Amino acid sequence: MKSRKLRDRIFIITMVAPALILLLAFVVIPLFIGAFTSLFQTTSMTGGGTFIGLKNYVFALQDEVFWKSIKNTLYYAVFITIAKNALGLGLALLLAKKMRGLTLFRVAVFIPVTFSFIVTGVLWSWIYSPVFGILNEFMNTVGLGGFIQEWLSDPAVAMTSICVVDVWKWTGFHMVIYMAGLQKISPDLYESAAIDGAGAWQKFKSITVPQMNATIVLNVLIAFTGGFVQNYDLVKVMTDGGPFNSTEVALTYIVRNLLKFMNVGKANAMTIILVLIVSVFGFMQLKIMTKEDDDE
Amino acid sequence: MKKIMKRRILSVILVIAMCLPLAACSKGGSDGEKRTLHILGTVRRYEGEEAAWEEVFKDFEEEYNCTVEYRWQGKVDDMVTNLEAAKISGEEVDICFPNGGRVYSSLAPNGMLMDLTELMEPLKDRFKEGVLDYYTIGDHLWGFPYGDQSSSVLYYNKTMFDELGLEEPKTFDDLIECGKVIQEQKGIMPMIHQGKTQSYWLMYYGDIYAQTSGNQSIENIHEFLTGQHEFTGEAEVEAFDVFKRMYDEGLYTSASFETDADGMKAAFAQQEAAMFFGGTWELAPTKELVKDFELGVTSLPRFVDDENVIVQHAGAPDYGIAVPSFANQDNLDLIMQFFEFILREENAQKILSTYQPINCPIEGVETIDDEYAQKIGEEMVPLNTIWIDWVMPIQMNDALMQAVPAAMSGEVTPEQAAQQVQDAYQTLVEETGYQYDWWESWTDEQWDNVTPKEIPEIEVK
Repeated sequence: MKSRKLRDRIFIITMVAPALILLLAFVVIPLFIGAFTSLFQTTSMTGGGTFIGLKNYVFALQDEVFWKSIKNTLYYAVFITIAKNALGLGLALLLAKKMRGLTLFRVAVFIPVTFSFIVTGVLWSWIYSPVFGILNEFMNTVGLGGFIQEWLSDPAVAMTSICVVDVWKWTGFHMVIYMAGLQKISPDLYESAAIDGAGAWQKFKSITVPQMNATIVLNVLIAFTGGFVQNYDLVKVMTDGGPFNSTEVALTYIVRNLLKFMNVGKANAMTIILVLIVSVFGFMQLKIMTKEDDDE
Repeated sequence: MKKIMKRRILSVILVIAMCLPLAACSKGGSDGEKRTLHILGTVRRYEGEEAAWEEVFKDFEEEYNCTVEYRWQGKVDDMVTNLEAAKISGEEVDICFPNGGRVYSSLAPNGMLMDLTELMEPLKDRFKEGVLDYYTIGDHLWGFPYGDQSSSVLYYNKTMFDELGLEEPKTFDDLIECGKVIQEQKGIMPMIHQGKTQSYWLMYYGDIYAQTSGNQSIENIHEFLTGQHEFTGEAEVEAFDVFKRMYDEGLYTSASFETDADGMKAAFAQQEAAMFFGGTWELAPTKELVKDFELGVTSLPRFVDDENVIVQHAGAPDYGIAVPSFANQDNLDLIMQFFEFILREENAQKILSTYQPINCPIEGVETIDDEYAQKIGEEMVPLNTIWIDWVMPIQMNDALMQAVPAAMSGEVTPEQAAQQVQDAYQTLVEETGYQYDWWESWTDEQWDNVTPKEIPEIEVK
C-alpha cells in the first residue's frame, strides 16, 4: 500500500516536473535575473555594469514615454476586452442556432485566428493605407467619405485602429468559447422561462449570463491579460509605436530600450513594473469576477 | 488495468514531448577535423547576392581546405541583437556583417568588435582612398566597407515634368512652385515619403541640416555630443522648419507618415506622386517598377538663401564586415585569409556586381554603366557627408526620427522638436553615462578584450 502511494507520488512529480522545469527556466528564473539586472547600469546582456540601486526604477518612472506606453496598454487591454467579449458573445448567440449555412459564417469568423500577427499587421496596414487602402475607397464608394481618417498616421485614431485589428483577429476565438459555454446550458431552463412569459432579454439576463459566468470570467481574463502581453507584434508591424509615440505600448517600449538602446537595466526595471501592474490588475479582476461564486 | 497502463504510456510520451524543447536547446556536436569559419550575416539584399556568396564560400573552402558555416539572419538593424544573442549562447561567430551605423553607435562602443587596425594593414590597398575612414573611430579600425557607397537622391517623374514644362528644382521656391503646378494640373501628391520607415526621416533631416548648418552638420553633431553645442540652435530649428514648410506648402500630405518603401515606390510608379526622396539603393527597384514614364534623378534643391552653401547628400559605404571581439582567436589566420580572398578583384566583382554599384569602395570593382548611376556617382557622391545617424547614438536617432514628422505635421513647433532632441541627449547622459569619445576612457582590460592576441601571416594574392 505504502509503495503504491510512493509510486503514485513519483508518477505525479514526474508528470508535473517538465512543466515546472520549463516554468522555472523560462519564467521564474529570468524574472529574478531581470529584477537583479534592473539594479545595474549596463549596456550588455551578458552581465556586468555598475550597481546603481533603484535608479533605473526612478528613470523609468520619470520617463514620460513609459507612462504613455502604460496608458496606451491599458486602453488597448480595456478596448479589446470589451469589444472582443461583446462581439464574441453576440456572434455566439447568433451562430449557435441550428440553421443551414451557419457553419460557413462560423468558419469565416474563426479564420482570422489562424493568421499570424505579422500577416494580419501587414494586411491591415495595406487596408488602412491612405494611398491604396480599400477601407478609404470603400467609404468613399458608400458615401461615407466624410468619415475617412488617417487611420495609422493620426495620433488621435492610430491606437484605436490597431485595437480594431486585434478585435477582428480574436473575436472568432472568443466566440468559440462562448458557443461551448452556451451548449452547457440546459434547454429546460429556457423552456421554463418561456412558460413563465419571459422575453428574450429576460432570458439572456437571468439565464444565459449567470449560467455562463465561468465562461465569461475565462474570456475576459484571456482578453485582458492578452491585451497586456500580446500586443507587441501588431503594434510593431503596423506603426512601430508611432506616430509620435501615440501607439507605443509597454512591450514595444521595453523591447526598444532593451534591444535598440541596449539600456538593459532600465528595460528590466520597466519589465518588473509592468509585471507588478499586470499582477495587480489580474488579481483585482479575478477577485471581482469570482465574487459571486465566493459568496455562494 | 490495461486502461491505466495505456494512460501512463501516453503520459510518458507527453512528458518526453514536453522535454524536447529543452533537448533542442543543447549544443550539437562538432563535425570532422577541418577548421570551420563561422559567419553571421544579415539577409542578403540584392538578387543573386546569396548565390554569389555561396560560390565564393565554396571556392574558399576548396582553396584553404576548410568549411564555411554561414547564416543570413534578420535585417542590418538586427545585427546588434543577433551578436549579443550569439555571445550569450556561446555560439561561435568569427565574422559578422554589420552596417557602419551600428558599428559607430553600438558595436564598437560596447566592445563587441575586434580592433582590426593592425590586422587589416596588408589589405589596405584593396580599398579606395579614404573609405576605411568610415569604419575608423578613435584612430582604430573596427570593420571595413563591403558594399556600395550610397547616397541620397531626389527621384522624379521626368515625363510629367517635361509635359508640365517644369525644370529640376534648384531652390526651395522652385520646389514649391513645382508642387503647386503638379497639384493643379495633375491633382496628385507632388511628393511622397516613406515616413513609416522612421530612419528615412533621419536621412532626410541630415541632408537638410547639412544646408541649414552651412555644411557644418557633422562638426556640429560632434560638438553636440561632447556637450559643447545645443541642439536648439538656429540651424537645427531651421531644418525642422523646412519640413514644416514643405508640409504646409502642400508638397507632402499626411499619407507620407504611414507609407513604407513599397507603398512609396508603388505610388510613384502609378503616378500618384511625382517625386520622392530616397537612397541610391532604390534606383534599381524603382527602375524595375517604372514602366509608363521616364525616371529622373537629381539633387535636393537648395533650401537656404545662402548661395555659398553646397547641396550635400548624406551617404557612406554602409554595408560592412567586422570581427566580433568574442571570435575564436585561433581562427584569426583563417578569418584574415577569408578577407583577403573576398577582397580579390574577381571575388569582389562576383559578389558586389549584384549590388549594381554606383561607387564601389573596393578597388577594381566595376560600376554599372547607367546614365542615372553616372550622374549620382559623378555629381552627388563626391559631395557626400556622412549620415548623422552614424555619429549619433541610437537614442538620439530615435528622438530625432520622432521629432521630424512631429514638427512637419505641426504636432510640435520646430523649437519644441529641437528641444525634444536636446532633452533626449540629457536623458541619455543621465541614464547610461553616455560618453561620446568612449575610446578615450577605456581601461586596459577593455582594450585587451578587443585586441587580437597576435597578427597572423596570410597569403596575399
